Amino acid sequence: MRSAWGGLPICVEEPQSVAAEAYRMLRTNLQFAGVNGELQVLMVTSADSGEGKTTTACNLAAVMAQAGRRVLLLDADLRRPSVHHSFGLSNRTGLSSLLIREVEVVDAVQEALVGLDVIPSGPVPPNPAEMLGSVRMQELLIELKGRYEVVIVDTPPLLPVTDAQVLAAAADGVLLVLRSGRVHRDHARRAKTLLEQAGANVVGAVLNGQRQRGARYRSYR
Amino acid sequence: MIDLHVHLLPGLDDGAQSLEEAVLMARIAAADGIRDMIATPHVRSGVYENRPEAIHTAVHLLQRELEAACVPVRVHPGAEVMVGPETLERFLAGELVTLGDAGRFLLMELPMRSLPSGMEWLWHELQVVGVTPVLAHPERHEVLREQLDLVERWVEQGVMTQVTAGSLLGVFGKRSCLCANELIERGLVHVIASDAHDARRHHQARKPLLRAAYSKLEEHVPVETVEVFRNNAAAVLGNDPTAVVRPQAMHRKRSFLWFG
Repeated sequence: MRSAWGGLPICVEEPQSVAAEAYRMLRTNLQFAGVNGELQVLMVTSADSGEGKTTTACNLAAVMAQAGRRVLLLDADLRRPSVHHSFGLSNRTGLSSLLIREVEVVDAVQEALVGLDVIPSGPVPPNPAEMLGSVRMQELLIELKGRYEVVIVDTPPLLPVTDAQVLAAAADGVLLVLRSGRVHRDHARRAKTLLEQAGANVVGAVLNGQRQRGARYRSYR
Repeated sequence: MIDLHVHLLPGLDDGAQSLEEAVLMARIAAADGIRDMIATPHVRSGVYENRPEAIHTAVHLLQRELEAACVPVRVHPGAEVMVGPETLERFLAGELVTLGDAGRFLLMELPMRSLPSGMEWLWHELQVVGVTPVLAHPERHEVLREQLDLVERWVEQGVMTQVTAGSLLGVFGKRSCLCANELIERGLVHVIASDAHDARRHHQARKPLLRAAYSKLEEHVPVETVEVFRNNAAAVLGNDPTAVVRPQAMHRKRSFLWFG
């Protein structure tokens, strides 16, 4: 009988898979871009919805934890949160509860894997962009930087709402996830423009779902 | 056969009103071929409190009475919980009795004319704590039966559904009957139960008559699907969520009516 989540992220369920290997490569590339050094808070966003940003954020967080980093995955998508679905975690308290000072960080955190803590979105609030732009949010990010080596932040997509823009400047770096064949070129351009306007440090883009031409890959040993 | 949804416990709700009536209902059920009945009194804040102790006591008394009267039916504790804003809290506080009181399956109903918001959140949170939600008689819900795509999303999210035997027999009207048909055709039904409330009335609406519904199903629906309904009921009684299966959708035109 299927449960609410269709299984954990692929890096956890099938660590030998081609997809997991791709995420490990992403992790390595980000290391060269400076994550785990001066890039502690990495925001993951996309142009539109459905491009795979949450999947990317969850898997990236998982492979970083698997490499021995102390990671926090923060669901800052307070509109359509799904990180708690990916790991089968409760969403009774989370970021929104923290931002209204209902709970302390220690109460909002759940351990998803060894080395990976998750703060889910919490109950959906009426004013997400405002909450993400608050002083409290800034304070929270500073507190989390003190507790974790890496903070990966999942946000709503850039084009439909302003939430991601609001957070972009507070992040040390932004990873833009785009789905091959799905995102329009103008949307991708617009997303990049919005990030530049927000003063974001775009460390890279991830192209999701590209078909491999040629020989099929077997999983690495 | 197993009947997972019966208002059998005397005086606890709008079901059996006396011990004699409860025994009669059990006798009718036994004659129908039912061997296990999960007693599911309504639990509705402010209307029917039915705390666990009251339910367990009533089950114990009734079982003793059935043994004395030589009625070969086993009665199990359960409840039919009306969904509300505090359902999750009440469950976590141990105030809600799961089917068979084994902790894995919680039978819930929605207010008949409205759809509360936050249902997906409730389904998720219950499953996080290891509970499979079982939705009672969606085919009888005025709003839900016009939104079967929503029922489908809930089923994909992990919710089990229970269709009432009487709906299949046309007892609750044409819309419930057609909706029950369509739910089954779309593979959105996991179990059939009687939702029996009494032994008094002459028409067959709310007597424990599961066999008639199963016979009707056997005429119109693939035998595998009927088997799934039976097996799922056993899985619930056996407290085994991994054994619950979603039936295949049926690929055929909706060209038949099931009553008349």
